[in-house]
Formats: sequence, structure tokens, C-alpha cells
Amino acid sequence: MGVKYIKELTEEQKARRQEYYELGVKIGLCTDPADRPRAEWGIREAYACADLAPPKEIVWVDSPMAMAIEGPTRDAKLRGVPKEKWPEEIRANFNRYIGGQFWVGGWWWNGPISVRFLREVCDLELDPKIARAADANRAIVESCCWIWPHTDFCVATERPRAIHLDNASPVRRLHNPNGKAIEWPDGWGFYAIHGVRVPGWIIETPEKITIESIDAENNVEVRRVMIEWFGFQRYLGVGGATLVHEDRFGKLWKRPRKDDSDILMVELVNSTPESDGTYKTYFLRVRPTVKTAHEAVASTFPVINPDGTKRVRLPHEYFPEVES
Amino acid sequence: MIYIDPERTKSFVVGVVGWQVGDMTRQQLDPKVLSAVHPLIHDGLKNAVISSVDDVVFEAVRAQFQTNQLFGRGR
Repeated sequence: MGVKYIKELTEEQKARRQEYYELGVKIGLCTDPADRPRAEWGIREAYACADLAPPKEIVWVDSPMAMAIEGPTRDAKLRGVPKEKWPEEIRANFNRYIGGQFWVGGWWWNGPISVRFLREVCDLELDPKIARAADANRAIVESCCWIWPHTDFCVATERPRAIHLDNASPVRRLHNPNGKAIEWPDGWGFYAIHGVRVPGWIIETPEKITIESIDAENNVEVRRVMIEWFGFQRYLGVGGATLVHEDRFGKLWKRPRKDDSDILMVELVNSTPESDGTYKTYFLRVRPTVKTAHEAVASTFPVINPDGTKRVRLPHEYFPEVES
Repeated sequence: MIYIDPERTKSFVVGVVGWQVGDMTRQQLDPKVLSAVHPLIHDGLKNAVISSVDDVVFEAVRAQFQTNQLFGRGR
């Protein structure tokens, strides 16, 4: 007989929390092939706990992307939705998934690993019905990646075959300077540098990064990575940039362009440190009329007027004691 | 089989194996115990797995649909 109510943890129990946290990380980042029999048992049990008939079929796919297509498409077919409408069905329904291994810590609830700690270490005795549901979820989480439950079938996803993270703390981010940061058995995955998803060509063929391709990139985070890869000094030197103004807010650079207007950029260091303690440097394009670095930084903070229209903040309005 | 739309099917399943288990377990714990377990195991794993991997994977899938790359046509 276990305990029905826990008033406090003993020192021995407290000492074992780290062990379960580490176990949770191991489960969440596991790259072994899925344990299909155990996952299928967990899925059928989960349906039974939810008073649903078991799925007629459990369909295995090799990546979340395959799941995102397979689930909504099968559902659309069952409902007789015309083929030309399937893309809309996928867009609207791909997110009806449960996180599998990634939800080992739970979402807003006590996750399976917390419940496991309480049952195994603290001898907590759950109501049999709740214990059954907890066992079902544990089996899913410890055996496979995302699942997409449907009344007729359930799509289950293989685990990733590779996950690469940086060493930042407390949030380690997807990161691989030599290939995909995460990849599933069907090859789907993506490239990332310190958590920023970037196009594959930046990693695979960095020699193709040019001043022009950097200028053409709209995503400021991706552009920052491209400049970092290209080299800050080279970016300014090759581009023929000249320093126009510098103050405590940053540096204002001007770079001429052939057959086009000059580009004005403000170089600034993010005030908020990254999880690894470093500070990111950004080059932000600003309108060509600004004269000082202060004005340039201020111009990147639009404000909303009382009538709802946007206007660019004036320098004297932007003088924070602390930036965040 | 009674058809239940995918959102509700997901809600039924995750409602029982996630929310209900979490809620019923919480009721068997003194708040002191919850606050001793939650920060390290729950919040820790939220940082270590959900924020660092699951959220990014979700955004990658969503981005691919938003740009219609899968369907071979532009917006």
C-alpha cells in the first residue's frame, strides 16, 4: 500500500529529483528508434481511458512533417473532402497533435516524469483509474515522438535520429554548424544556429554568402547569423562601409550600393544576454535620413498613436534608463 | 464509430492522460511538495525539451505550410 497524500518530501526524496529531471531530459531528447509495441499499447490504453473506442489502425510515419500531412489528409478522405481542399485541411489541423517524448515534463500539468517520481520515489498511490491513464501516457512519452489521435486511426511518429544542441543554460538550443540541427529518419529536419532556424545553404555552402544575399534577407535573426558567418569586419570592409556616427546606443554605418541608394545600418548589441551569457550583435537597416546612432536605434521602436496609427519614435522619446 | 473531430479527439485523450492525471496527482500533494517538485522537474523540462526543441519543431512545420512550400505554389 502506498501513501495517499504526501505532506512533505524527505531529504532522500529531494536528493533524487535531479535524477528524474535528467531521466526526463534523456527521454525527451532520445534518438533511438521508436518502441512501437509499447507506444501502440499506450495509445490504445489512452483511448480506453478517454472512453473512446481504440483506433482501428495505428499508422507510423517517419517525421512530424509526415504526421502533419498524414493525419489531416486521412481525416479529409474519410469525410469525403475533395482533394483540392486537402492543403487547407492540413493547414487547419496539423496542430492537433500530442507531443510524445517532447512532453515528458508535461505541458501545464504535472507531466509523466513528475508523476513517475512521485510514484516510484515517494510511493504515491493513485486511484486505479488515474494510475491507468498515467501508465498510458508514460508508455507513449517513453516510446515515440508526436502522435495525432483520431477517432478512426492514430498517426504515431518515429523519434528523431539526431538532435544537436548548444551548451547554453538553462535552455540549450538547437544548434549545429555542420549540418541539420534535428533530423528524422525520412530526412526531414532543419538547420539551426543557437536556436535560430536558418536556410540549409547557409550551413552547407557558407562560401555562397554574399553582401547581396545578406541585404536580401528580411529575417533579422537569419541576417545576423549570415553576417556572423560572413564575418563582421569583412561585412563592413568588403561592403565599403564607413562609420557615420557612434554613441552609447551603437554605431551608425553607411554602405554605398552600385546603382542604388546607400544603405544605413545601426550596429548594436542586444541588452539582454543569451542563455549562454553572450550578447548578440545586430545590424539593423534604418531609414536613410537618420543622422545619429541614437536616432537610428530610436527609429527601430515604432510607437502607436492614440488614433491607432504608427509613427517612428523620435530620439528624445527614446532614452531608457535600462534597455530590455 | 462515432466521428469526433480531431481537435476534440485530441482534447479527450490529452484531457485524461495529461490534465486529469496532473490534476488528480496535485490533489494528493501538499502545496509544499508541489513547489519542491515543480520547478526542477516540470519547469526544468519545459526549458530543456519543450522550449528548446518542441516549440522550434512546431514553428518549422507551421512555417513550411505558411509558405506553401509543400504545395508547390506561392502565396
